[in-house]
Amino acid sequence: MKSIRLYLLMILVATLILVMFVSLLKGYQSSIETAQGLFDERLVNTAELIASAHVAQTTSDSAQRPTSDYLFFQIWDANGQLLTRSDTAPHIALSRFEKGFYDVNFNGFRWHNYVYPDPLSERWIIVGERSDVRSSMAEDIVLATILPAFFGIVIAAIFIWWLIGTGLKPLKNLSRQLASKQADDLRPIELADLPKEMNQLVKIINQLFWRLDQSFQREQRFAADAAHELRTPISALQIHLHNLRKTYGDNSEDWQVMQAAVNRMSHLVNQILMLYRTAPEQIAKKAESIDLYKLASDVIARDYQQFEKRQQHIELIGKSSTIYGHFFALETLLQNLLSNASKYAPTKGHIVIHVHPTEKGVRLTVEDDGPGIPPDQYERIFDRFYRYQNENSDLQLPGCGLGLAIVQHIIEMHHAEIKLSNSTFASGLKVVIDFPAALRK
Amino acid sequence: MKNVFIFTSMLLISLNSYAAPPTFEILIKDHLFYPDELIIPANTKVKLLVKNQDATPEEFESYELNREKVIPGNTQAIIFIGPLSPGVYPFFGEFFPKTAQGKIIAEEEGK
Amino acid sequence: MLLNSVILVLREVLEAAMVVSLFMAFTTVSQQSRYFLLKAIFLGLVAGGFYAYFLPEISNWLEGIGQEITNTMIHLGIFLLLTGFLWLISSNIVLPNRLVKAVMMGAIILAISRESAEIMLYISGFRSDHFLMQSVLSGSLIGLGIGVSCGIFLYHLMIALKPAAATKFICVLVVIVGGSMMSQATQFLIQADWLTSTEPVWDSSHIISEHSLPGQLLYALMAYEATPTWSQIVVYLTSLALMILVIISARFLQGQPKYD
Repeated sequence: MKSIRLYLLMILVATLILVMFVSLLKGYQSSIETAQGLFDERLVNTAELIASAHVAQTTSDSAQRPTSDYLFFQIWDANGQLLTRSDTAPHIALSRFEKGFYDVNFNGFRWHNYVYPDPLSERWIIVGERSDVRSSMAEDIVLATILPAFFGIVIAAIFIWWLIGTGLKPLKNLSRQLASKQADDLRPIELADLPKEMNQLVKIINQLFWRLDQSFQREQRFAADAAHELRTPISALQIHLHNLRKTYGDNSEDWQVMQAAVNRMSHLVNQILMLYRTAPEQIAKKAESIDLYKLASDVIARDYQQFEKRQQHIELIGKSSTIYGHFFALETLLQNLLSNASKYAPTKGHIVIHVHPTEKGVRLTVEDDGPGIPPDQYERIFDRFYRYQNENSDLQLPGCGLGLAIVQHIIEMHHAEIKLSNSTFASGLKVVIDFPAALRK
Repeated sequence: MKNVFIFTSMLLISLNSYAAPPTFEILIKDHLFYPDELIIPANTKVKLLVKNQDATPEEFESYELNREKVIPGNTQAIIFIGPLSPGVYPFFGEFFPKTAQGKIIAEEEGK
Repeated sequence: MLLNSVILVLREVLEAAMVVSLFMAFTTVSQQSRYFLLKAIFLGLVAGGFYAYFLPEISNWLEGIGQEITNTMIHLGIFLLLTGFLWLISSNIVLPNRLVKAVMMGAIILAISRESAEIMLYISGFRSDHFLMQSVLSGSLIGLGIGVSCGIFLYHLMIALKPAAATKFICVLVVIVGGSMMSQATQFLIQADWLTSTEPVWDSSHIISEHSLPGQLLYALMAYEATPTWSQIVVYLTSLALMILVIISARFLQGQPKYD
C-alpha cells in the first residue's frame, strides 16, 4: 500500500539532495578554484620573496634550510647552475626554464612548481609545493563549509518526516473515525480544526451519510407501513372468503385457488414485516444467551405439523450449545431454514439438523434430500425475491423468495458465516452456519 | 535489420593488427604516472603498456582519448590509442585523480 | 578524496539507478510486486563482487584485453535484454509473465554487476589506509545517496504519469539506455583494438565538456561523447533503429497495439 507520508518524505528529500548537490558542487568547484588561485598567488609571492632575499648572496652552498616537507625551492643562475636549494629540493631542474606553473613528479609525489625568472639578479627561482597537500588543504577549507549542509539534509529529513506526520494528522483522524464507525452508525463525522483541503471531503461524506440515513429510514418506513397497511385488508379478505364459502357451501376448485392466493399474499406480507423487524437497528440492543439446541427442538415441535403432513423424517442431533444472540431473530432463522428444507425435501424425505459447539462457537447444520441447488446459484439465492427454479421439476412451490434473504440478514447481525454445499444424501442442500460464541460489539 | 547490423560490424572490425604498433610503457607508482608526459607519434596507432606497481587498483581514464580501464594492483594492462592528430591529450587515474595525472603529446614525426 | 569518491560512485550508480528505476516504475505501473527487482539488485551486487575479485585474471585473458571484452559482453547483454524487454511488452506480454521478469532481472544484474565491481575495487584500494578510507566511504555514501535520489526522482516522475504514457516514456528511456550500452560496447571494442580507431567525427567539448556536470549526466543517460568516432555513431544509431524496429514489428505482429 502506498503511504503518502513515505512518498512525500522520499520525494522531498530526493529533491532537496539533488538541488543541494548541484549547488554545492558548483560552490565546491568555484571554491576549489579560488583556493588554488590563492595558493598559486602564495607560491608567486614566495618565489619573489626568495628572489629579493637572495639578491646579494652568490654562494652555491646547499645549506640545510629548514623547510616543510611539502615545499621546496631552487635558485639557478642564468647559466643553468644550481646555486642553492632547500633540503627537500632535487639537484636537477624538474621543468623548463620558462616562467609559469608546471606539474611534475618527484620523490614519489606530484609537485606544483612555479618557475620565476628574477630580472634583477638574472636568476631562476623555482618554488614547488606538493599537489596532494595543496588539494587536501583546499578540500579541507571547502569541506568545512559544505559538510554542515549534508548534516542539514539528515536533520531536514527528520523534520520533514515529523512535519508531514502532523500535516497528515486530520486525514489520519478522519480515517480512524470512519474505521471505528459501526455499520449502522450513520451519524455525521465531527472533526475539530478541519483543514481547508479536507473540508469539502468531510462535508461530502457527511452529506452521503445523511442521505443514506434518510433513504434507509424511508425504505424501512415505506415497506413496514405498506406491509402493515396490507395486513388489515388481507385479514378482512380471508374472513370474508371464509364466510362466503360457508354461505355458498361450494367447495369447487376456484375457491381453493383463491384461498391459496390469499394465503400466499398473507405469508408475503408477514415475511416483509419480519425482514424489517429483524433489521439490525430494530433489535440491536436485545442480545441474550440462547441455547440453540433447545431453540431448534422447540421450533421443530411447534412446526411439527408441517413435516408430518408430508410424512417427512426429521432428526435433531447434537447437544446443548449456547450462543449470544437475539431470540426472535434466531427463531425466525430456524423457522425459515426448516420450512425451506421441508418444502424442497420430497414426501417421505429426510431432514437432519446438527447443533454442536466448535472451537470458536457453535455450528448449525441443516440437510435435506431434496433436489439441491447447483453451486453457481449459491450466491444468488440470498437475493431478495429470487427463487431458484429447478428446470427438471415442474412442481410449483409456494413462497415469495424472502426466506433466505431474511436468513442472510440474521446471520450478518450475528457475525456468523453461512456456507452452502451438497448434502450427504444422494442429493439435496446442506446449509452450515458457524456462530461465534460471543456476539462482537 | 540484423544482417545490416552484422554487416556494419564486419565492416568496422579491422584486420590491420598485422603490423605491430609501437609500444610505450607507463608506470604507476605511488599513485603517480611515470612518465607524466609521453610523446608519441601522431597519426599512428600506439600500444600503451601500463604497469601498476602500486598495491591499489587504478583506473586509467581519459575523456580526450575516450579510454577507461581498471588496472588492479601489481598488474599491467594494454591500452591501444590512436591514431591521434597532433595535440595534447591529458589522462588521469580516476581512483587518485589529485596526483595521478599525465598527458600524451602526439607529435608529427620529423619535428 | 571525498569529492572524488562522490563523483566516482555517482557516475557508476547513476547508470544502474536509471535501469533499476525504469523497471521499478514499470512494475508499479503494471501493479506487480517489486520483490523480484530487489532480488536482482542483490544478485547484481554479488556478481559485481565476483567480477571485482577476479578482475586481475579477467584482465589477462585474450592477451590483456579480457576486461574490454567482458565489458563489451556485459553491455551487449544489457542491450539484448532491453531489446527483448521491448519486444515482449510490445507484443502485449506483460508482467507477471516469467520471461518478462527474467529479462528485467537479467538486465539489472548485468548493469549492477559492472558498476558495482568498479566501486568495490575502488573502495578496496583503501583497505590499508584507514584515514583515507573514512573520507572515501563517506564520499561513496554521499554519491550513492545522490545517485539513488536521482533514481527515486525518475521513478516518481514516471509513475506520476498515466499508465499508458508511463509505459511509452519507459520504452523511450529503455531505447536510449540500450543505445548508450551499445555505444559503450563499441568504445570498449575500439580500446581492445577489435575495431579500428578513427579520427573523431566532431569535437563538442567546448559546448558540453565531459568533465562538466551536464557532460557527466549526459554520459550516464546516453553515453555522451564529446569526441565520438564514426563506428560509435553508426552503432549507436543502428541500435536505436533496431530497438524501434523491434517495437514496431512486435506491435505489428500482435495486430493490436497495447497503447494509443
